[in-house]
Amino acid sequence: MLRIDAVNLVCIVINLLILYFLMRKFLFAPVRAVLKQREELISNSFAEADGVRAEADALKKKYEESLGDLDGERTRAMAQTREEAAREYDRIVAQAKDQADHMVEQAREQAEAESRSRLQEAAGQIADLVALASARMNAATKSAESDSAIYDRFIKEAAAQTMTRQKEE
Amino acid sequence: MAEELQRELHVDTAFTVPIFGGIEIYESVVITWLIMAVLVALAIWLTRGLKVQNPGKRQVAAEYIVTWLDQFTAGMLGEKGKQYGPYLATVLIYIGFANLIGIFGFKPPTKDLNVTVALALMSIILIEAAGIRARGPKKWLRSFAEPVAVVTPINVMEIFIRPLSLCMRLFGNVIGSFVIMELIKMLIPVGVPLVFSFYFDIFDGLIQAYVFVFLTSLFIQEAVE
Repeated sequence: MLRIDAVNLVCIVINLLILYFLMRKFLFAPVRAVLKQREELISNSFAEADGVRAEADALKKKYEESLGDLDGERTRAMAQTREEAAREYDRIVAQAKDQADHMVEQAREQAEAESRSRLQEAAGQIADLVALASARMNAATKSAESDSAIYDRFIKEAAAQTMTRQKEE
Repeated sequence: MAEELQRELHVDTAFTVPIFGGIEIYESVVITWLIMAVLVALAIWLTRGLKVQNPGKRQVAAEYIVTWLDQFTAGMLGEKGKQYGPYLATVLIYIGFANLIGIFGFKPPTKDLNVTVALALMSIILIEAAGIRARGPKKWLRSFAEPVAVVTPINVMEIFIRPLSLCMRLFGNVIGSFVIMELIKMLIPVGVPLVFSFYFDIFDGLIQAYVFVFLTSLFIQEAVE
């Protein structure tokens, strides 16, 4: 029953060693390799995700910065536009004022010229009246009318004439 | 009945190699081959087409088994002795299978003293080798005189006592349960053996595999620290 046999003992030892190597080769090594690969894959994807997040953060920062820039630029552009508009406004107003002044000046000159020509006309008419009056005076000396009566008539006629002209104007 | 039991207990010679006046190869060696073939085939089947992503059910099973065995042995061996894990895992699986094979009608190889002696010899060689590797030959030799010089003979004796106890414990347990199971089968061949088989073949078989590996791991851990 209790047989110890060196050959069989050695056989068992060899068998167990072979089994150990086979198990290592076919079970432990491949499974451990796969587990390690998966671990690496996971840590790699974590690292990748971190990288992507950092990149996204950088992009966001850049975007925000450019947005800030945009705000500043817009304010600058608006200020510039406003300034330009104000300048243009001033220019137009000044131009209009100039034009208006010019027109007023022209109108005044025209009015003055007109009033001058009227005065000249009036002076002509007065001379006519004076000639007429002196003719009348000459004629009257011959009539019974007194000098003062002739003078009064002349004044009345001259006033009436002036009034009608003013009304016409 | 006694004769029948004797015959069952006898380690049969499976075949004789016709050299050097005939080398007898025992049944236990042949059954060990069978166990090896089954285990290796199972390992190859489980690890066929391994994928890093989306593993199949088979791969999940293989990964679970390897992870469990690694954790189990690493837990007993400690950080320094972790490298001996696969050997102990192999021994655990082998003894477990060897003890359970009685269910399928084979004689458990662990019932043969040659097998348990071989296992114990390998264990003690591994323990001492691990000690020498971890500490260096001088420190290893000095460790026999620790903690006090008086215990040196006891420590030296342990080199023989440890494997002897390992091999005898396993052998005794397996042959004991084998004898009891054979007796039960002879007395009541229906129904009752099933119930007892759960204890003697499955429970005791696995417990003995665990105990053998546990003690070997404990000794290795002690040797490497």
